[in-house]
Amino acid sequence: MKKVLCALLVVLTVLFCSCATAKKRYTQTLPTVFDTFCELTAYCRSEEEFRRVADAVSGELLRLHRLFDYFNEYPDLINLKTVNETAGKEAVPVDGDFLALWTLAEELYEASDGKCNAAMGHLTALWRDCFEAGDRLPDGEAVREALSHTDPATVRVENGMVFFLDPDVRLDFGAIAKGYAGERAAEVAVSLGCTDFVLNLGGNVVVRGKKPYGAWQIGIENPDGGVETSVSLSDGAVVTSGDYLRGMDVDGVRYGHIIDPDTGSSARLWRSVTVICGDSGLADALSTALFCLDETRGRALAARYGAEVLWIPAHGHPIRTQGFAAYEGGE
Amino acid sequence: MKKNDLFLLLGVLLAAFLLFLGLRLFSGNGEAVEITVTGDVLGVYPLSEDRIIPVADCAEVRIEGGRVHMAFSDCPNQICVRHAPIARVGQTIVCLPNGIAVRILGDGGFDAVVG
Amino acid sequence: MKNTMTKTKKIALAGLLAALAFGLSYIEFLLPFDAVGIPGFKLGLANLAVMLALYRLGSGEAAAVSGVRLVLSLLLFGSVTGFLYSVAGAVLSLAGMIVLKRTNRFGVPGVSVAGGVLHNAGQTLCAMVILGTAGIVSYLPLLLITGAVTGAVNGGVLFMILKRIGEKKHE
Repeated sequence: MKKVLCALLVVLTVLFCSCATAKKRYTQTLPTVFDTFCELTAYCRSEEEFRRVADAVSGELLRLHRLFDYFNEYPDLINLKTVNETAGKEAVPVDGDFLALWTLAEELYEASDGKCNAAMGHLTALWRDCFEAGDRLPDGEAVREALSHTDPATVRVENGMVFFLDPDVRLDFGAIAKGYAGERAAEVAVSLGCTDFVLNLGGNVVVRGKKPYGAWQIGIENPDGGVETSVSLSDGAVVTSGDYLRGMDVDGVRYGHIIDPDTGSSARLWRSVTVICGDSGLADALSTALFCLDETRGRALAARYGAEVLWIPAHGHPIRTQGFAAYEGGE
Repeated sequence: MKKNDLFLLLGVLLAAFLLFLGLRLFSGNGEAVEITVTGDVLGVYPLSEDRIIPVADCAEVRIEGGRVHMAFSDCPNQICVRHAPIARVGQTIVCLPNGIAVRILGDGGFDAVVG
Repeated sequence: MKNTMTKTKKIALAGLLAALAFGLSYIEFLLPFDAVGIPGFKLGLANLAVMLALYRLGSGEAAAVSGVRLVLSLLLFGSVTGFLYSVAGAVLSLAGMIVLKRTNRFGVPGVSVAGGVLHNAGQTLCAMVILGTAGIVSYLPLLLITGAVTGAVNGGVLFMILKRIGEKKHE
């Protein structure tokens, strides 16, 4: 008996010593891309492994940030700005990610009755200038003019080339690029063998795997302060669109940064809309569209994509899909 | 089966319930706030003491009654100042133009917060 | 030596029980308890074999059965980290059961409840140490309850088994 116990003890000691492979939690702030604070939290076996993943994720995010940059051009890169400036005159060859994001945008345009529109760059630019000034609304005539150049059907994509049939149409991926980039960056992390992480792109969270002791806990803020609720998630994305932080107040009226393509002005049905679904790009696009849709049409859209939703209205209690409630709890 | 077995079972269930209540009372709210400027940690301050923290001549973070908010910032968009006070682990207030991140630290809480 | 087992018989029985414990572990491994939504939730079926050893053979044999099961589980379907949690749970659980049994104030179900509860408590404590976060303690209340309930059920089953085959008669 003693011998057996001794042997067992030896085996256990060896195993305890080899336990250096236990995963540890690491967090790192990533470069600021898509105008948001980005952060990666992951469980890795070593700091070097985590750094390698964080660097690769940063690289992918930067690459996509440049590709979908509305304001700047970069050497040797045909990006959104290049396309906006030249596709009205001649066909422009674009990157595969550009095509993939445009395909997503087109599909969501159809599905959301035009509420998610990536072809209204002129309109969003008008509003962006006003948000920066913070004290005036865009000129009504200019808005009407911009609204007449927002038809995605005038954007031709063939054989990897983009051409604008309407030379005054402009693309703006502001509402969907962040989510798409999050999904791609998550794929990069997974390809490096990182299985358990949270990638937070300011209100746009992609999670994979879990913590050693349970699923990831994602808090959802209440516009009036505090945390409204939280969800437990293992693989998927949580994206919130809200109007209470980005935007401006003019003459006592709140104008949020999400513009309804039908009215040409800030959508104000909801204070925030949170979407949970499998793909971060889809979640981002859906949250923008749902922000402009009423509950009935919103529920239909969410159901079509199997997404779960939490709506926080300006007045009254939050509304949630049944499936959303299933993610809640633990808090 | 002895009477003690039943007492043990009930005792454990009671203890678990009390532990649950206790944890619920004390968990969630953070212990400290960490302020970073362009990635460098400026400092970590306990939430238990009220405090005014100037940040790089361009902003001011305040701890009041266990909650943290950005009292002032010279940034153009004022998103950080508009953010409601934070107290729960994982919550952050970010001022991108000035590169400031204010984050609640502590055990448990959230791995990320959206909103 | 009347009414007692021979040493050979004891070792053989301990081996059988270790195999039983391992088999029960495998059955649990196959059951999809992640779906319950409680991290670390287990039925603790293997504890049936360990307790059988404790009541039929003795403390040392119970420890051996438990140890062999742990190592076999590690080799076949475990990760090293998961193994550490299991060891922490098993050691604390076994120690508690031996102590409680020696007091002679508790029956089989009580000892089993203690085993289940301490197993989960040990795992949680180990996770706190390894992961370096105290936040995991928030899972403890739920795990204490599930440990107590599964322990009680296992204890009831074992109580009926022992009624039929009897406790050990040696020593």
